[in-house]
Amino acid sequence: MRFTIVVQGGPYTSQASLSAWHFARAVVATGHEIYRVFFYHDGVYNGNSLLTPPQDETDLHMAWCTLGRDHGCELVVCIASALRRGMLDDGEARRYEKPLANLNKLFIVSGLGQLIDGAISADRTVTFGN
Amino acid sequence: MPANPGTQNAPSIGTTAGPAERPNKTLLFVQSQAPHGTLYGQEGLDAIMMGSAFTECAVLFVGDGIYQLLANQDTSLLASRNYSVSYRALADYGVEKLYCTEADLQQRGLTVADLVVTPCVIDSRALQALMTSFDVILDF
Amino acid sequence: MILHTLNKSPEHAALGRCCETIATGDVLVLLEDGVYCGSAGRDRQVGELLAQNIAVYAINADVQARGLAVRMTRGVTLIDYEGFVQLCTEQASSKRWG
Repeated sequence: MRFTIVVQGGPYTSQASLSAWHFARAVVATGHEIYRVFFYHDGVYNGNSLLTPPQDETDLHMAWCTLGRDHGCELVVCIASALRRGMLDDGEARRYEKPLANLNKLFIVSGLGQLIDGAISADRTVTFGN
Repeated sequence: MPANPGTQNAPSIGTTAGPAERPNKTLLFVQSQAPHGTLYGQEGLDAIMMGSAFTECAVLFVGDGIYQLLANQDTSLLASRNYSVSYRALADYGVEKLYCTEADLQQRGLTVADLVVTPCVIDSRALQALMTSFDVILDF
Repeated sequence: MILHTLNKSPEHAALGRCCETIATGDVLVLLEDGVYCGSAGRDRQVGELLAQNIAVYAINADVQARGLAVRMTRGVTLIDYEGFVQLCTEQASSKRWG
């Protein structure tokens, strides 16, 4: 089956991101497929490449990147949620003349249509929030 | 990138689309948070409006979520967006089915006359049936 | 039928709302702080669901992390995340309470 996973909680604020990541890994491990991970609300902070947790804590940002890189999971951050919270890729940083971009290139900035498409196209949609 | 939707697994229960097209799933959006205290309601409403462009959508207000519809919200002092007025426009987007429960209204001393739009008031048994009747539930 | 997830302790109104809405044939997965709802002394509503033959599961990692392994209510089934995925495939949709 194909899963869309919606992440609404920010890393290191609630457990939602950690739960969603464990779930995503289990989807892959059980032979199912991740159609899309959609980061919404504070979930967009998972794409922040500047996150620097202590070395003895799980690096959630890198954990998502690994999932995206090794398993080809599509990681999409909602553009409206992201811009509002200062999560910008190179293109958006240029467009809004901001001094830097902080969104990892493994994350795709896209619109809410990707959430709806994910919900419609996947066999199951599971939401993690706080 | 995901493969072309609809070409892999059989559509799940409740879908009628043929193999070449995207399954036309119905979406139930659930608003469960009071407005302004968090951004869940406002960002949830954005998602509802987007959903209406794709497929059949309905909105269920549970618990404090019904406060999003309370009339006379004035956010001018707060400098926050008063998105309650946008619920009036939802019908123009084709989202005409709004639901809440009698119990949630009563617990909060509200009637539908206190709201900016008039949702369909249902009991808990109808709520179970409602949730089961949609293909996907999106929670905010 | 629906897979309900609950991630809040019994302090929160989410538990009551979930229990009012859950129907025969649905399943409940307790995760994060939701696992407290299935622990000794806090399990009244979950006990009622079990008595109605509604299956209740709890994420083992969350149970272990909170020191609840010896305090979980009999009848609540501990699962790992793979088990969670499996349950999702068996139910038609999922609903988050929290």
